[in-house]
Amino acid sequence: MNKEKISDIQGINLVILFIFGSTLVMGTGGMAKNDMWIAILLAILFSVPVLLMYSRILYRYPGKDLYDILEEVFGKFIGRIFSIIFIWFFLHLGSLVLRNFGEFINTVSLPETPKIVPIIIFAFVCILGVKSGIETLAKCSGYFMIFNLLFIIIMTFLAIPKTNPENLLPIMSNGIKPILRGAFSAFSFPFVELVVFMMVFDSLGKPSSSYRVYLKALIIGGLIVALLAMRNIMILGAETLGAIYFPSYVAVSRINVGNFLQRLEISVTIVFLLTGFIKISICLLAATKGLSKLFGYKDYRFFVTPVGLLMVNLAYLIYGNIMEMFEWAREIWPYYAFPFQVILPLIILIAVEIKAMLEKKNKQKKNEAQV
Amino acid sequence: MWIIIITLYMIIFFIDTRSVVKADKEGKLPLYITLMVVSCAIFIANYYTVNMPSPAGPIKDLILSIIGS
Repeated sequence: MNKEKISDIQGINLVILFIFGSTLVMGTGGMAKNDMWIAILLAILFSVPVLLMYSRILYRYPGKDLYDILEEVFGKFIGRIFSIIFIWFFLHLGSLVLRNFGEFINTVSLPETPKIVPIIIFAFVCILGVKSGIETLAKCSGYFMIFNLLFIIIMTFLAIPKTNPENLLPIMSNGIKPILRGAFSAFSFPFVELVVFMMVFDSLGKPSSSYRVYLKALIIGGLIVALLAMRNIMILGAETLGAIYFPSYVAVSRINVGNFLQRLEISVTIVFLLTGFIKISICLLAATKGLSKLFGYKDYRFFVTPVGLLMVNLAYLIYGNIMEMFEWAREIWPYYAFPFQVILPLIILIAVEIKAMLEKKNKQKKNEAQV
Repeated sequence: MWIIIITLYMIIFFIDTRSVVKADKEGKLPLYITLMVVSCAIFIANYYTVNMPSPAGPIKDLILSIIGS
């Protein structure tokens, strides 16, 4: 039985920070250009049924995580094959996010430092976080959330003089196709990456909590991401936005209040790093928990360091350069992640429902036989 | 360089496994050491190989062949 418990609000904070994760750094739905915000809103809408699907699976097995559910539904052999597939996905996702932050730090503040240095330092902080457990991460997320929201609100207000609402026009000038492509991109990164939380939400108090947490966090986090996308378009314009790697960072660097308040981008860097810490830690936690369950160990903490170091290695060798990273994130990731985020959970949900139906029928038959 | 990498991994190993006896009783150490050795080997290979093959390449080729562009 899982002893670590988190409240619904802590769960919501964790999910919102996870959504912010690398989305604030890299942006999402870029294919839609100045209609990016519409694409993000559409992606939120498309994500709702998928998150309901995750919640339904968790609701059927209260107090159990994805790996326990897989073994119970599919049996040991097939369940473990599914587990290995998910462990790979969580490890890969963590590595990609780690690399995003490595590239971000390397590009904006430490260009002379080897890329591996920020990646290793960041990974060690995440390893310490995961070793402390989900309860500690959840408590941290409360403080991070206040700090992040405060900075996001202040930066958005300070950026108002630099905004040009005409940059949002014309709306849908290129038709619906780029918006749908952008929505698909935003759907897979970051909204349905929340499949990772199927490893965490066994710590929630009530079986129905996962519905509340997923949906509230999706709406709050998604709307903030859409708002920030809108702000970035209004400050930078669609053309500039398509030409730069880190839109929020560049947008905030334009803030200049009376030649006094300027160079505020360092403050958003702190916000980015806090959200990145949560996202990488959750991925590391999910991968480590899966690996320890795969080998039949109850406590995952002992394996956090080696799995974290594997993540560092994968993060370092996965891309040749920053251009490859962005091409992968924009063009390949949505198609690569779709089976892990939608198809496999759908198969699991169907199996869970069939199993529940059969159990119900068997129970009825037994009752009838007794009568 | 490989000596430095192995030494660093050993330092991490000794710091991280302060509760080695307890861990060994549960039989966790073999898996731990295997993961550390794999990780260390990738690190060393990554340092000495110019174009280390990455999993991103084959995945990208596969997906591009499926979606057809």
